[in-house]
Amino acid sequence: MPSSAVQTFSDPDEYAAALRAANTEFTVTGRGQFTAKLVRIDLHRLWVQRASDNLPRIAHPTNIAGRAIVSFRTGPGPSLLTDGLEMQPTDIVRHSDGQGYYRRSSGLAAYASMSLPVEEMVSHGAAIAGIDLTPPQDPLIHTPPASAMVRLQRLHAAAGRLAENAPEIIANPDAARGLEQALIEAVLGCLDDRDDRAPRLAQGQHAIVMRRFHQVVEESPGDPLYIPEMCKAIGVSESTLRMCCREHLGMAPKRYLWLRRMALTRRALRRTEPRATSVTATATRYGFWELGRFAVEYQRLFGESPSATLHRSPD
Amino acid sequence: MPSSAVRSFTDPDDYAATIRGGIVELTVTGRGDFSEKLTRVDLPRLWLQRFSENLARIVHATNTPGRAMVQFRTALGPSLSLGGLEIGPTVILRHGEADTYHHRSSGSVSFAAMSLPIEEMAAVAEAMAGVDLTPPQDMMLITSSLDAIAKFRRLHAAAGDLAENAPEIIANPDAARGLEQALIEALVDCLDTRQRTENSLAQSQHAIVMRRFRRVVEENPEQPLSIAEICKAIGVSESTSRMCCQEHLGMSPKRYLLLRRMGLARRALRQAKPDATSVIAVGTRYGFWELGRFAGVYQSLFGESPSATLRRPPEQQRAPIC
Repeated sequence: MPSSAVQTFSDPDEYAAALRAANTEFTVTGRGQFTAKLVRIDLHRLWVQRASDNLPRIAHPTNIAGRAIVSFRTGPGPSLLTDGLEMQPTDIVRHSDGQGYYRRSSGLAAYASMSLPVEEMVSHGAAIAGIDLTPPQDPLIHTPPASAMVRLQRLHAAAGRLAENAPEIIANPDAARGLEQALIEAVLGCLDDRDDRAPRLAQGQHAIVMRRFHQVVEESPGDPLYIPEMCKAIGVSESTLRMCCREHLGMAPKRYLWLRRMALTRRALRRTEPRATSVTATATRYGFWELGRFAVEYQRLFGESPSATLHRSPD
Repeated sequence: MPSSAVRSFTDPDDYAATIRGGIVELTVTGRGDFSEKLTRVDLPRLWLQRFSENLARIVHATNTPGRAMVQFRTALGPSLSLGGLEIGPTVILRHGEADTYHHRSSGSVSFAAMSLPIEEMAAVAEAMAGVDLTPPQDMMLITSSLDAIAKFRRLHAAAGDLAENAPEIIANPDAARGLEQALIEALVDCLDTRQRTENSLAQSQHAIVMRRFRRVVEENPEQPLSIAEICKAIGVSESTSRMCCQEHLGMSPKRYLLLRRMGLARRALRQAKPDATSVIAVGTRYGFWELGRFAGVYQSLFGESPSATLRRPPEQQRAPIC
């Protein structure tokens, strides 16, 4: 049964959990009150999403296996990069099957995605456009003919407005099928006659470094990590890691890891009952031993004190 | 094949000729430059139209036989009435079959219409709600639940948005069928109500008077008619004819007939070549014998002199098609 939903969020973690077709870790890197909006449309085989979030951040989505995913930004705005590659509103990204990638924004990011089961995308590509749409190894950015991209943007936006204003139409199986067909045709129109920006060799190598980086980070969620240890675990020099992080994350690994631990601390403070824990216990759990400094930096980053977060009711 | 179109007009006659589902004559009664936007969506069985206009005007329309039609406003605004019935923001007007009526606005209004073959409408309503939705004898206002009408408006607006921004979706037969189903269901929900404003006896009598008034007007398309002659032809007193016109047209019959002839003269001036006719010939053809006064009234109504209209090349007046 086709369906749609429109949600707004003030908690980055809840937003990340609601994003489809990927498991996403979200680290806000800018200051201010986070807000995000997500429009989700599930047609018969096609999943459609339109999302926007307001603060600079680094997302690490790991695509779920078996789906061919494309994404694009829905309008001009502050920079938005996929694995260090700048996305223009005239570009479309084809994603890998089941791999993770970094997507960072430097401000308000409005973007969209669509996904189909891999075999379906491949057979559509072969049947309609005579092209191979097997998902690539690493994300590929492609600049389609302007008219094709404009059309995809138009139809995708119209689908989003249907979800917001007339979900009954999307819930109608016939209408959903027609919408799905029109959207798939529009996407194929963008992927036909591809002139993918050929990934540089370096880019593929940097992507491998960053995948290992993510793996090491995930294996030690709470503890502060030291850069020399990380470099050893990944098997690269410090300068290489620094360069890869600059490209994919827009900052030094140290800064990213610190922001990430701050975000994890905030999440823990949000989710626990004030009676069950203390700011001290939570902060030390995430490696912040100098509590005075921690509180000041927390306040600067999130605009409230850690104890205010803890005492705020979860909803 | 389902289709849609969005057009803008600056010429009231072009606009009237494009409206679907009936024969339409439009007389602008407000001053200024006319501009109108029409969005049309033709699904397999269902026809939708959305209108938005900027000037007060009186339309006389005759609906296509064989179709069940409703109209409603899509935005708050100045008064809008059909057959003397004021279309409030929370009502739907159900037409009788092949209704003929005056449709009056007093300013910038937005409204919409939707129609379905009568037998389809009757079958769907019977199947869904067990109600009889064959067109009534006279047009009537339906007051539905606010939820039902809000939903119907939302879906109708969404169809209009698709026509403007994603006509490819409407052109897809599956999508068109689904859209049609969703809209019909939403409409039947609105009309499935026991609450309907019963038309008063006076109202139906006034509608009869106005139908006769229209017939007399149509039989004498160009000549100025005296009110006494018209009343005699209709078979009513002058005060009755005045009251009925006030109700349906929002003005006296004399004023309406003047504005209508002015509109006809303007159309003739627009369509004629400057070397084939003169302002005098056109003015007198529509019964304006005092040419100085004609030019004065014309200028005050349309903001340009009759000779300026005549000399303007016709191409300039054509509306751009979006």
